Amino acid sequence: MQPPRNPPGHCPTTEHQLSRRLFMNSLAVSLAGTGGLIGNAGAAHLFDQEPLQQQLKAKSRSVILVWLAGGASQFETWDPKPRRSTGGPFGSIPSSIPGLHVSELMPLMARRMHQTCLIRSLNTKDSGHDTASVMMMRGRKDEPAMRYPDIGAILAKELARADSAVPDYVSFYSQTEGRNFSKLTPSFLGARYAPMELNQSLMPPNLKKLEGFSDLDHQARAELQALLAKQFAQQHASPWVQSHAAAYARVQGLMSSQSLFDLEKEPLAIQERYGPSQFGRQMMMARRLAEAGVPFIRVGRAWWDSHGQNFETHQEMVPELDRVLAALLDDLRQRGMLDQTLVVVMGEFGRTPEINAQLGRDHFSRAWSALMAGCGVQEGAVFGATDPDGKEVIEGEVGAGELFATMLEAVGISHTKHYQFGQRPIPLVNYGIEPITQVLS
Amino acid sequence: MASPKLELQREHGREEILFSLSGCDGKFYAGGSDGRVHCLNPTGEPAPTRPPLEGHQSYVTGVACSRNYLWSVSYDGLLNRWSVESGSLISSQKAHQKWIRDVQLSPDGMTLATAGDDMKLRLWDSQTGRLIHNLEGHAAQSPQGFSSMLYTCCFSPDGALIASADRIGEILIWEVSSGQLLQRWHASTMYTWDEVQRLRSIGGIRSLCFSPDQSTLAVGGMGHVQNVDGLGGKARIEWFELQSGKQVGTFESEAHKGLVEGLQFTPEGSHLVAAGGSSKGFLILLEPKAEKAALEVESPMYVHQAVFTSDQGDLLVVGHHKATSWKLT
Repeated sequence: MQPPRNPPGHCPTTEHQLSRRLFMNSLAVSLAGTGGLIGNAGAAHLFDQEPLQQQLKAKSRSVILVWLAGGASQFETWDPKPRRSTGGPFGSIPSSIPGLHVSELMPLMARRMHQTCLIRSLNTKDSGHDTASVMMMRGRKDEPAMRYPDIGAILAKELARADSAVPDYVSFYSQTEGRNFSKLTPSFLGARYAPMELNQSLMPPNLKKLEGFSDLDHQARAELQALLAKQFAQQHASPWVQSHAAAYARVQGLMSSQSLFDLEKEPLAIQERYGPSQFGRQMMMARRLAEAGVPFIRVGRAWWDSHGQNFETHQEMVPELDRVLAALLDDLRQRGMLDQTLVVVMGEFGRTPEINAQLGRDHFSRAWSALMAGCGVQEGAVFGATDPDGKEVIEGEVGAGELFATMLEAVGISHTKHYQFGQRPIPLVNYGIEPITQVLS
Repeated sequence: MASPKLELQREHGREEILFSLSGCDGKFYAGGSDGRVHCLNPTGEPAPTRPPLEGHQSYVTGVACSRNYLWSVSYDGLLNRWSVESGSLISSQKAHQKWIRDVQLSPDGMTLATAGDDMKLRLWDSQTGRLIHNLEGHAAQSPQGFSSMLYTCCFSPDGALIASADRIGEILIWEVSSGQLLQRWHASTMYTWDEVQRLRSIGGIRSLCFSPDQSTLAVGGMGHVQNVDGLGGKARIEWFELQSGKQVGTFESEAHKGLVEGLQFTPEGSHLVAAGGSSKGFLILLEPKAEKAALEVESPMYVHQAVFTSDQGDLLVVGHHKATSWKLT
C-alpha cells in the first residue's frame, strides 16, 4: 500500500514526521533481511552513538540529484520521436501515464512514470559542458563579482540539522571526464556547506578506526576529549572554541556512521535490485544517506557525451539508468521515504535532433527533458512539449532558473528567499524567475 | 597491376542515411534510416521504375539478393522477403528479439544468415524461410556487464563455413552444415573500454571477409580509442589464418580514423577494399595480408557499404545521406 501523499504544499514538516519508534521499526524490518544488522556489534554501535541516534530521530527532507554528466539524449530516454528523421532507430513504448510514451530502452521506468513528473520543455540556452553544468547546478550564470552557491549547498544549509552528525552534502562522481565542470561550491555560504566528494570510494577516507583500536578505546578517548574540551571552553569561551568542538563532534559522528557507508548491510534483494554496477551501488548509497538525514546527495553518472555512435552508447547506458532509477523509486516508496525525498534526473543539456556522420548526436540545450519524482512534486505529471522532430519547445518553455526554483519549492523553501552577503541581499534565484507551479504538489 | 587509382564518378544526395547495399540483376538495393529499401542504378541514382519498398519500422541494416528474392533486415527484428520482380512483400517474420545487424546469402544462394543483438547467428533456408540453425556462442554481455552486440557475419567462398563477430572483438567460425562451432578468436584491440574517464565502451568488429583462397579471414573495425565520445581510433584490419587461428597480419591506417564498416575483394581478387569512416569517410585498397595500403582516398561521406557493380572496377558506395559511384583502375 502506498503511503499517503502530502496535502498540497510541500514536504512534511517536522511535526508530521514519523516517530522515532516508527522509523526505528521500519529500519529494523528493512535490516532484518541482512541476516542481522540489529544485534551485531556494528549495528549496536550505529544506534548507540549519540550523534547518529539523533540523526535517525530526525526524518528530514532530502534531494537525490541523478546527474547525467555529458548530456544524455532526450530522444533515447524521455522524449522519443520514433519514425521521424531525427528520432533515431529506437521505438517508443507506452508508459503508466495514459498517452505518454518513453524510449523502448526504459521498460522499467515506463511502468513507473505515474510516480514521476516529466518536464519536456527545457530551453537552457547554453551548450557548453562547463558553463552549462555550472548554470544547471546554480540555476543561473554567475556575475563577475558573484559566484552563486549551487543547489546542493543551498539545500544543505536549508535542510540540514544544526547538530547533524552526517554530512550535509555528498557528491559521487567517479569518472574523471567532466568531474570538475560543475565546480560545486557553497560560495559565500561557507565551507560548512561544501560537498563531501566521494569520487574514489563509497566511503569517506580514513573513516575506519585504526587497527587494534577497539570501540571501547575509541569511546574512552572521546570522553576524555569531551572532558578536556569542556574545561577548556569554560575557561576560554569564544565562537572559535565552539566551532572546534562542533567540528570534532561531526568527525566523531562520521566515524560512528561507519556502518552507514557499508552497502553489505543492505539486504541481498535490495542489492540485486540496484545491480552490481558502480552507478547502482552509488545510488543505493545515496538512498542510505538520505535515510540517515543527508539533505543533498548528487550521484554523477559519466559520461553521456555521444558525438559518435549515440545509439550504441545509449543502448549500453540507458538500460543501466532504467534499472537503477526504478530501483531507487521502488526503494524510496517501500520505505515510505518518497514523500520526503525529491529525486531529480538531469544533466547539463540534451542532444541534437540531427544525427551526425558518426551516428552521433551533439550538444543541444534548446529542447530537452528532466525528470522529477517524490517530495513536493505531482505524480504522473507531464509538463511542456517539443515539436514532432524535437527541434523546438512548443509548449511550456522553461529554463535552468525555473527548474532550480521548482526544486527549492518542492522541498519547502521559498524561491523568493534572500541571503545576506555583506550589505547585499542575494536572492536564491534571479528576480522574475518563477517555479513551475503546475508540477508542484 | 600498376599503381591503382580510385576516382569519384557521381555523387547523389539522399534524405536518409543508407546503411546496407546488395546487387540484383543490374539493380542495387540499399536499406535506409527511413525504414525503406531503395532501388538504385549502378551510378547511385534512384531507379525510376522501382519505388522504395516499405515494410520495416526502423533502420534497414542489411539487404541480400538471390535470383528471385530480396531479403532485408532491420533494427525492428524483422526479416522481410520481397519479390525482385514485382517489389511486393512476400513474407515478414520476427527473426531476432533485438536489433538485426546483418544478413548474408551463401555463395550457392541456398542459405541465408542473420546476425542480431540477441547474440544469435541464425541460418535460414532461403527458399522456404525455415530456420535451419540457431547458433549461440557469443557472450550476451561485455566483461563489464553491459549488453554486447553482434554486428556482422560472412560466408566462406565455398559456403562451408560462416564467421560471426561481435562488439568485444570475438570472432566465431561455424560449420554451416552442422551448425558446429569450430573456432573462437579474439581481436581485443577492436574494443575499447574506458574505465577511468567515461565508463563506457566503443568499437567492435564491423566487417569480415574471407580471402578468395579461403586461407585467411580479414576482420575490420577500429584501433584503440583515446576518447570514446567519438570514432577517434585508427581504421584497423586484422588477418587471421584459418587453419591455425593465428593472427597473421595487421593494418592500421595513418590517414583515416573510424570504423571499417565493409570489406570485400576486388572482382579479380587482387585487392581488399575497406570502407568506413568517422567524421569523414574513407575507401582503402590493400593487397591481401599487406600491412600497408596500396591506396587510401577520402569519401565525401561516412561509408556504410560498398559493392562492385561490374567486373571493370565500378564501385557503388552508400552512407551518410549520399550514394556515390567510383571507378577503380
